[in-house]
Amino acid sequence: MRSWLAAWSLALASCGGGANNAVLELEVEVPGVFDASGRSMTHVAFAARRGTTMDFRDSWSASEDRPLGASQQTVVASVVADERFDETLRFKVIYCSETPCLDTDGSVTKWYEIEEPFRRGRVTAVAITSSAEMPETSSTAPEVIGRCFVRGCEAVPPPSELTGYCNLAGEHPCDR
Amino acid sequence: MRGLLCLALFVAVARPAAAQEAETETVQDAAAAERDAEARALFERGMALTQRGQWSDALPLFDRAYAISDQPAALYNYAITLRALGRHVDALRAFEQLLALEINDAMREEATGMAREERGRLGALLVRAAGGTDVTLRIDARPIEVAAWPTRVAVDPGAHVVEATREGHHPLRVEREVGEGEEVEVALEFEPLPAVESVVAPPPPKRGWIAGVAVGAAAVVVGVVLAVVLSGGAEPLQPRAGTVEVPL
Repeated sequence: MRSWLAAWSLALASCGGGANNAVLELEVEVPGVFDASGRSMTHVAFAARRGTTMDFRDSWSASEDRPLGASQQTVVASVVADERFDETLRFKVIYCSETPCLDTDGSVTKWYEIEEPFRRGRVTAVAITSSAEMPETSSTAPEVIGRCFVRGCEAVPPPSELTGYCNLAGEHPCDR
Repeated sequence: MRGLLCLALFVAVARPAAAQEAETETVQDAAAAERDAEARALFERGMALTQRGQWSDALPLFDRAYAISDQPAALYNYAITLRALGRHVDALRAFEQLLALEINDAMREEATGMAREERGRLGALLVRAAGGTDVTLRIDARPIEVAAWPTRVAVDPGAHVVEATREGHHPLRVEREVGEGEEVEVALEFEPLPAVESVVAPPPPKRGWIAGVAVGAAAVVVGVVLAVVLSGGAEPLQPRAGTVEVPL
């Protein structure tokens, strides 16, 4: 009886899909300290919001500031979602010359829009490499990162430039 | 677009000058003066951001400036910024709010023209369902009040998600693309959930009370396991140590 119950519980657990939340790791390449608009950009902060038509009247909540190094480095930022996993995510990389690092006139901000970033019960990841360029001015429109360039669910080789981690039919590993 | 915003700036700057003259006759409340200065600073910062194309960052500043000062110029710029962001439903609402205020002729003429343009840009979803209006309806996660069928909801051009629930039925989720000035129909076809049949347990066999207790205990254990699994008993995922946590 005990072994039957244990096997049954395990089967049920695998059907349940594990955790009810999701984590997105953003592997952000950031430059070393650089100059923009006559200021020395010494710190970086990250901010995330859901959706593409979100209410812009809400303020963005940023991460803690992080000092830039002498040279380029990769910083991993984590965003945890507890619901609405299929919504697009907007993400800001904010470079600033003074702390707290806010998206204001004195800062330079790069914008990204990530499609289908979260998968329930999974850790997914996105590599953001263009942020390592030393921007002179802030983005006026977000750079879109398609759903096929969100890594997760399967150990896969590096993404194809055309299809990302999806196959030629456009299927994502998390949907297979 | 920039010229239109400058017009609004002129109106806003003109007001403090008039207020200064009035100062000789009335004693201005210090708190009101502070609010006025804060509103002006927010307004000017919003103007600077729009000139850099940072419309989304400028929007909350105009909103706040208007909330503090009740200056039509701030509401005007708020409406213009919504329009620039492609939020035509909200822009039209803001222009209509502005037109209900006492404003000068130049601003009224501009706002009237823009409100007309915004009306032309809106799309609409015409939502229908059989039966009563006992439906919880959401469009792009925004709750919609249903008074009768069909319900017409003005939307911005683009993709929209309609979600609807009715007690005893499967929930529905429909995606629709709406073009500028286009009206798209959405028919909600609810399917009833299967009826739940009550199961009457057979009487226990005579002298089989020990087996009955064992079956009952097993059922309790299975029930607990099922409840834990289905309620998401698994531990939530945590960010990896050493990563920068970004609040959502």
